[in-house]
Amino acid sequence: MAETSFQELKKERKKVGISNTLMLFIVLVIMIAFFGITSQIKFDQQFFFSILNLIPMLSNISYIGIIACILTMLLITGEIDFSIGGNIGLTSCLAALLLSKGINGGLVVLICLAAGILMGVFNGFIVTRLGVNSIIATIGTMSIWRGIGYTLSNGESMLAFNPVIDYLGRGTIFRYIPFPIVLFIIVIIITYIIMNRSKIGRRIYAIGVNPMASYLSGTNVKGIKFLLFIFCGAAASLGGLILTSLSAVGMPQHGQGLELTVVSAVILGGTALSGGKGQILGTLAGVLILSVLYNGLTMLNIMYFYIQIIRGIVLILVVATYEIRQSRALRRV
Amino acid sequence: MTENNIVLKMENITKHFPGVLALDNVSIDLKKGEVLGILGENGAGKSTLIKILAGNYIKDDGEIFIDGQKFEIKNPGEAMASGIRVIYQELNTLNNLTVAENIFIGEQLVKTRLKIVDWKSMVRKSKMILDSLNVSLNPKAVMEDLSVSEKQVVEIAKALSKEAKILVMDEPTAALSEDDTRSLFRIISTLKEKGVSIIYISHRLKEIFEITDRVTVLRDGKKVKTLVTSETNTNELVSLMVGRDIKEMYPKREVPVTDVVMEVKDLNASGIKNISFALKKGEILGIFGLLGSGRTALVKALFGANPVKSGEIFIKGEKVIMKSPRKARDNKIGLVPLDRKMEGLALALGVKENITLANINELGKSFLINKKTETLKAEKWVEDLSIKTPGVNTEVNSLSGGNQQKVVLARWLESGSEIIILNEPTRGIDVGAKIEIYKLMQDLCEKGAAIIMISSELPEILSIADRIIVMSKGRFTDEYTKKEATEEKLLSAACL
Amino acid sequence: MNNLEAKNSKGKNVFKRVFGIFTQTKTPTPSLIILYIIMAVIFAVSNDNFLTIVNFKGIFNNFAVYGIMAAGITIVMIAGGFDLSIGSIAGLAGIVSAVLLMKEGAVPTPVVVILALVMGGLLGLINGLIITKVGINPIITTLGTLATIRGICYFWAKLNPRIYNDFIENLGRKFLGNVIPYTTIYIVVIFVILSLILKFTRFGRDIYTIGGNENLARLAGIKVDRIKIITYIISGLFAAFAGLVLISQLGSGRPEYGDGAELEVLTIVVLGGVAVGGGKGNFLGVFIALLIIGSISNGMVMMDVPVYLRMVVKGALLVFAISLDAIRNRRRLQLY
Repeated sequence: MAETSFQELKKERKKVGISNTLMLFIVLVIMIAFFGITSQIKFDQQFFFSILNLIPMLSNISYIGIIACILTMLLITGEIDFSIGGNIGLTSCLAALLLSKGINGGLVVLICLAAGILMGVFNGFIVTRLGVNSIIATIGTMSIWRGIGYTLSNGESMLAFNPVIDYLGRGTIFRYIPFPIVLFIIVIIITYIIMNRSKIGRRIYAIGVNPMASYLSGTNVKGIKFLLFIFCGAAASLGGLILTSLSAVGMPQHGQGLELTVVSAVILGGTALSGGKGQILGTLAGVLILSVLYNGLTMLNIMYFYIQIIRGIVLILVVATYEIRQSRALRRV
Repeated sequence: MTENNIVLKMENITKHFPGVLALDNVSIDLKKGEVLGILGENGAGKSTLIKILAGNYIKDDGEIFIDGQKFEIKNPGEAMASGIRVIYQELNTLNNLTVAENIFIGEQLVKTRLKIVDWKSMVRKSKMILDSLNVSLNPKAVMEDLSVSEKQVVEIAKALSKEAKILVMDEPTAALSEDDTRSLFRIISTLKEKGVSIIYISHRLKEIFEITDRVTVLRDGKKVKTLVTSETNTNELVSLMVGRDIKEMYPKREVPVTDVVMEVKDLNASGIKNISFALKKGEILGIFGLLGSGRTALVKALFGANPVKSGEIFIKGEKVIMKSPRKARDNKIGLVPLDRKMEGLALALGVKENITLANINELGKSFLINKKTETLKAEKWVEDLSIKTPGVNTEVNSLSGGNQQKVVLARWLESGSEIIILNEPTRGIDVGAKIEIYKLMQDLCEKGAAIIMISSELPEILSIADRIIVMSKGRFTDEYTKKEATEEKLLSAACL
Repeated sequence: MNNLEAKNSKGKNVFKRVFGIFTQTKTPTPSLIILYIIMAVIFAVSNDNFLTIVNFKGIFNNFAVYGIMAAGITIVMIAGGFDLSIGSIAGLAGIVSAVLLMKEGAVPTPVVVILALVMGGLLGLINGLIITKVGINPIITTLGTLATIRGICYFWAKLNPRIYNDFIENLGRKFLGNVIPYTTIYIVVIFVILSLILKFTRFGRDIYTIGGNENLARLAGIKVDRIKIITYIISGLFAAFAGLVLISQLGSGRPEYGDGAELEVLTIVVLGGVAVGGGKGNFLGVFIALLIIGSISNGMVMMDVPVYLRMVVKGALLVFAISLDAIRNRRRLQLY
C-alpha cells in the first residue's frame, strides 16, 4: 500500500516538473506565432521575422540572458543580486572613460571584467561574511555602483568606439551570427553543464534545498555563495560591455531597472526565490518570453507603460500559476 | 471522579500523510477529571492525534465528540474556544516578546470595547500563574534571555492561562529536572481536582505509572489497547508498545574495545564547559542529558559547527583544529544530526543525492559527476542498509522516518567515517526501523568504527551504550559503565 | 537621602515607561540616538547652519514623504512582510488626484482626497490578497505591482497637471506658526498613534507575534491572513497620503513621482532597527533613522557634495545599516 503511494507521488512530481518548463516553451511558441501573424497583417510584410527585427532583439536577449543564467545559479542557492543594473551602469561608464583616455580595447575589457569581479567580491563579502540579507545588501550596492557610474561620467553619456568593444556587441561570426548570441549560447551550455552534470552544481542545488544539511555534510556553503556573487558581478560587467557596444555610448543610466527584468525572467523560468529549485532551460524560456513580449508589443506600437503593466501582471500570474499548481499537487496526495 | 462522564471522545480517527498512514482508526475517550496517558514509541502517531485534536491537522476520517456533542475542529481557534489546550513538545515561544505576552499569546487581556491591551493585569496574572507553578520568573523578562527549561515553564503557564477543559501535554518533562517534574505533577493533581481532564503523553514509563489513571497504547498508527494504569505493569506496557520482546528490541553484542581514536581535552565552546573524554575503537559511548544540557552544543563542537574557544581534539593521536564540518568529514567523522528534516536531509532531493552529499568529490575524476558511479554507489547502500524506497531517485521527503535516518547514516558510511556521532538517532522512527538502526550501530562497531550516541531515551541508552557520560549545564557530571548505570543514577546526575 | 533615591528611581521609571511605549522590544534605538548626537555635533561644528531651524525645516520637509511611507512599511515589516510597491502607489495617488483637480471645482477636494486614500488602501488590499491567499512571496508580488502600478501612472503622462488647489498646496508646504512644518506634525502624530496601536492593542501585539513566528500565531488562533492583509492596506494608505504630500510639495502631478522611494524608505526603516523578517522594530528607532538620513542628505546639500556622490553615500548608508543589523544579531551565529 505504501509502495503504490510512493509510485503515485513520484509520477505526480515528475508531471509537474516537466510541464512547467514545457508550458513556458509552448507559451513562447504561441507568442511568436501571434506576433508573426499580427506583424504580417499590420505591415503587410513579415517584419517580426525579418533580420531587421531579429538581430537587435537577439542581441538584446543575449546580454540579458547571460546575466540571467548566472543569476539563476545564485538564486538557486537562495541568495539574490539586485546590484546587476548598477553594475552595468558603472561598467559602461568605466569602459567609455578608459577608452576616452586612449587605453587599448582589450585591456579595457579586462579592466571592466575585473571591476565586475570586485563588485561581486564586495557583495559576496557583505552577504556571506557579515551575514546580511542579500536582497537589501544588493539594493544598497545597486545605488552605490550607479552613483559611482554617474560620478565617473559626470552624469553625461560618452561615446565609446573601439574595434574590440564594437565587436563585443555588434560583431558577427560567419557573417550573420551576432557575436553576443554566440557568447550567450556558450554561457547557456556552460551553466547547463554546471547545473546538471557537475559536482559544484550538485552542491549549489543542495545548498538551496537545505543549507544547514549541506553545511553539516561538509559543503563550503559560504565559499560557493561567495563564488557565485563573483560570477554574477563578472556576468553583469560583461553584459554592461555588450550594452555599451550595442549603443556605442557609455552612460550611467544603462541597465536602469534591468535587475527587475532579469529577476522576473529567472523567476518566470521557474526558479524559486527561496532557492533549491530552478533550471537553466527554464531561465532561457523566461528570458525569451519577456524579450519577445517586449519586442512584439513595441513593434505593435504599444506604449512603453502598457508594456510595463503587462510585464508586471505576467510575472504575478505566472508565479501564481506555479504556486497554485504546486499546492494542488500537494493536496492531491 | 464520576464514571461515564465522558468529556472527549475521538472515534475512528484516520489520517494520511504522503507515503504514510499516520493514524489508522484510532479511538480514545477521556473522562472528566482523569489523566489519560498516551504511550507509544516515537512515530506511533501520538503527536498526529494531538494535532488533530488541536485543530492543527484536519482528520481524513472519524468523529470527535466534546461533552457528547459532535464537533468539527477546523482550526486552532475553534479547538481553543472549546477549552482544549495543548502544550507541545517543541518549544513554541516568541523570543522577541516578554514572558507575559507569551503566556497570553493571541488572547491578550483587554479592557474596554476598543480591545486595549491591559498590560497591568497581564503582568499580574502571569505572575499568579508562574507562582502557582512555583517558579520565580519575571513576567516582563524578554524570552530570548531565558534558558530552555524556563521557556518550557512558560509553555506550561501559557496553557494554563485560560480555563482549560481538556489539557494535552506532549512530553512536558523533556526539559525538566526532577524537582521541576515534581512540581508539574503537583499542578496536574490540583488541576485534576478542579475537574480538568488531562491527556499526558510520554515515553517515560515511570511517569505514566505515577500520574495517569488510564493509559492508551499506540503503535505504528494503530491503537493497541487502553488499560487502567493500576492494573498493569511495566512489562505489559513495553511489550504492547514495542510489539515484541525487549531483548529483541535492544540487540547487543560484545565488541572488543581497542585503542583510542578520539581524545578531547578541556574543550570549551558556547554551551559547553571543560569537556574531556576519550573514545575507543569498537565502543558505543552514550551521552545522556536533559533538553538544554548542552548535548547538542557538544555534538556541534566535536563536528566543527560550534567554534571551539579552548581545548584540544585529537584524532588518532593527532591534534586537529575542528574549524568546520568539512574538516570533521576529512578526519573521518560523521554526524547524524538531531533534526533529520532541518539538519540532516535535503528533502526535495533524491535518495541518491542525499547519500552522496558528503562525498561529492568522489563521484567522478573530473569536475563532472559520473551518474553511473553515483547510482551504483547509492544502490549499494540502499541494498546494504535495506532502505525501503521505490528507487534511488525518489525524493527522500516521501520516505518514512526510519528510512530517512538510514539515508543519513548511509551518507557517512559512503564517505568512510570511522567515528560516527548520532544525536537522538531513533527520534520519530518506528519500532522496526529502530531495531535496524541499533543493529547497524553494532555492525559498525564490529567493523572497527567508534560511535558517540546522544540519547534522552533511558531504556535505549542503558541497553545500547557501553559507557554512559551524563551532562548537565554544559558539563560532564558523571560517568558510568554499562553495568553500573541505572535510570535513577542517570536522572539524578542529569539534574546536578 | 532614601527619599531622593526613591524619587529618582521613580522618575527613571516614568521615563522608562514612556520610552517603553515607543521601543517595545529590545532594539538598537539607544545606539542610534548616540549615533545621531555624534553626527549632529560633527555637522554643527563643520557647518554653522546645521543647528538652525531652517535646516530642521528642510530635513522634515524633504523627508516628510519618506517618513509617512516608512510608517506603513514598518508595520508591514514587523509582521514579517515586505512592500516595494509604496513608491508606485504614491505616484499613482498623486497623479490621479492632480488630474482630478485639474478642472477647478469639477470634483470637490475632500472627494479627491478620500478617493486617493481609498485607492491606496485598495492597492494594498490587492498586495495583501495576492501574498496571503495565493501565497506568493511578498517581494515578488510587490515587485510585480510596483511595475504595474507605475505603468498605470503613465496613462496621464501627457497631461502634466499643475496644482492650484489651496488645500493640496497647503498640505505639504504650510507651517504651523511659521515654525513647524505641517509635515512634521503628520509624522509625529502618525508615529505616536501607530506606536500606541502597536503597544496597546491586540491588533498591534498580534503583528509582533506574526512577525516573530507565523506558525505559532496560527496555532494560537490568530487570524494571520487577515492581519497581514490589514498591514498591507495600512501601507497602501500611507503611501497614498505620501503621494498627496508629494504633489503638494512639487506643485504638479508627474507619473514618475515616487520612483525609487522604496529604497530610501527601506534604508530608513532598516537603519531604524526594524528586522528584515519581522518581529522586531519600533517607531522611535525609525524616527531617529529618519533624522539621521535626513540630516545626512541635507548636510550633503549644504556641504555641496556633488549630486551623484550623494547617491553613493545613500547606498553605502543602506549597506552600513543592514550590516549593523546583521552584526547585531550575530548571536544567531551564521554558520553557512
